Amino acid sequence: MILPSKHLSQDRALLTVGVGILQHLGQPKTVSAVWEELHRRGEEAQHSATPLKFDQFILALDLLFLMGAVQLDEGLLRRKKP
Amino acid sequence: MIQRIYSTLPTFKCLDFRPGLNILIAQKEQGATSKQTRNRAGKTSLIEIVHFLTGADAGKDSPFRTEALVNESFGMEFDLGGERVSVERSGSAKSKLQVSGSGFAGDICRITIKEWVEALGESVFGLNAGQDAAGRAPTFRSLFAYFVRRQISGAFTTPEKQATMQQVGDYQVALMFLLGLDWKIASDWQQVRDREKTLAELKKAAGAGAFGSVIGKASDLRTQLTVAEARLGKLKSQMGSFRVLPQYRELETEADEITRDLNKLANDNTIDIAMIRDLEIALHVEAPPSLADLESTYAEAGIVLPGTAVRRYDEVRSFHESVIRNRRDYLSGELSSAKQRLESREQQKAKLDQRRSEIMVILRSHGALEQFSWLQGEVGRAEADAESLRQRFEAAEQLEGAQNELEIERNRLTLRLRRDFSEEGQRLADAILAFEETSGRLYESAGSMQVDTTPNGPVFGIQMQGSRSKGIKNMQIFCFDMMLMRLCAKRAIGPGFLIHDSHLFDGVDGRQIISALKAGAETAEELGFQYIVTLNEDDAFKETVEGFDVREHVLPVTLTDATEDGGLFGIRF
Repeated sequence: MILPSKHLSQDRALLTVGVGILQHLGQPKTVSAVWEELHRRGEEAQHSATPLKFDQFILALDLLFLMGAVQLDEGLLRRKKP
Repeated sequence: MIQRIYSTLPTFKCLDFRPGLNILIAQKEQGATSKQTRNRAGKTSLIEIVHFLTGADAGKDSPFRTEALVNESFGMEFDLGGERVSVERSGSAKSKLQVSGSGFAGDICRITIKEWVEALGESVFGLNAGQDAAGRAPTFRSLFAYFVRRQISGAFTTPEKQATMQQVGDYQVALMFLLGLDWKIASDWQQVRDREKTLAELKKAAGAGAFGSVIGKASDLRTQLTVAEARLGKLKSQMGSFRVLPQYRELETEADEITRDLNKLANDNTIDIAMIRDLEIALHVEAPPSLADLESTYAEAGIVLPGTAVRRYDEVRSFHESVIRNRRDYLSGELSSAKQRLESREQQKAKLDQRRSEIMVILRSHGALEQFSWLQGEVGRAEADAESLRQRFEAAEQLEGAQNELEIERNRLTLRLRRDFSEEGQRLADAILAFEETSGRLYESAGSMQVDTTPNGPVFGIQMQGSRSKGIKNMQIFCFDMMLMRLCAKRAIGPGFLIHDSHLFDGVDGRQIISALKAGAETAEELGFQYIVTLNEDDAFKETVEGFDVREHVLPVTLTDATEDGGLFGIRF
């Protein structure tokens, strides 16, 4: 799930998705805003027949949180300063 | 009767006349033919003098204006209205003449030609000078010319005319008068003829060229007029129901703005509706991952990411839940605010829509002031159009209708004439008998007179058997004149004398001439008028007839063209 494997392409691995999320979090944003952007970008790229799923996105966020990369303040996601 | 004709010209051969037949003889030199000067012996000059002294025009060509005669005056002594009157006139003062006689104030008075002609008309024919001027009335000059026919005007061509150029109306009026019939009918006829002439000219003008575009055809104009009047009626009713609204323009602008606003609202709605659809899809479709997935991911993280400071699981789970809830809240919020926007826009739209329909109702039933002024202008223009068309139509109709009117008028006149002829049958019969009477006395009958009613007025014709030689034509004129004398004597009008120029006897058989002179002498004696004839010598004594001696009636003065001083004036000019 986290790393790409035989059954999971690289860009669907949670870690890859998480990196994409972090790239979008230059500014604190709502969960929806980040989701919209990722979602849109996936649609624009059209490099895969299967666009990013919402539950994968959520799991990627969970992963980032447990790694201490993001936090949620008053409904806004922000990158955590190391 | 004429007593004397004289002149101040010393060489003039003064003529004294007697009652009854007077013959003035002129001797013609052998070989004197067409090369004659105008005045050879002066037979025709006698006629001209009589006309000159009875008010004829003396134009530039008149012999009395020639250098030789212009300063001489000519005179005539004659009976007028039972009085002995002398009249004198000269070419130099041709517009005035001197009249002396007990009938005129003073011994000698100078009067104008017009006054003289009026006086003559009154006492010779009983004409009223102040006769109404409607149409033609008989005039002294036109009547008198029958009693002293002039070769110069071509009076010896046909009995009913005293001049070749004489108009139909003129001789109809004159003869109806002389025959004692209702001459006003002939006068009305002339009016019809005059109107027809004018009409024909107008029609010619209207049919083409100048008036064509001005008048036109009645049928075309009727159509145009109908259309123009319909348009006018429509405009008028529009103007009648027109309600001016001073704020018309402002309302128009407002309505435009409302339309723009409504469009904008509708566009915004479209965007929002799409958004709502997206949000709803997002809410329904994007199912959050189950907690089992989270657990397995958490477990995996511990394996694949060793050494990372991993948070406790329940911290991760609460983050996970709050993230999901947060998104759900956000989406719901978006959804409800979009719905609210829609709601309020719908309300706004309804308000605007109502306002707009209110405005539209007003705009439909009212108009702006400038529209009203424009409409007024249009009505004015349409009215002027219709009016001018109406006038043109009336003119064209009159033009086309006048023809029928004149036809009707002619028919009416024909009936009037028939009625007059049947009412005055006795007078007609008198005339016909008088003609017949003279004709019967001639060597060869000149025929019989007929008076007919035609669509062109009374026609005086001579019906005759046998030859139509010039001689016979002349004898018809002779009979006709004698008939006039007879009728005038009966009614006690007329000049009391008849003068026949020798031209009347040109080309007439000698026996015919002598019997005519005899008939003339007898008629003159019977009726008590004076019959003056100028004759060429060779015509006069060619034949004889029993019981009549020409020499008894020959005047002592004889004219000749053989010598310079042998003519009437005694000089050549």
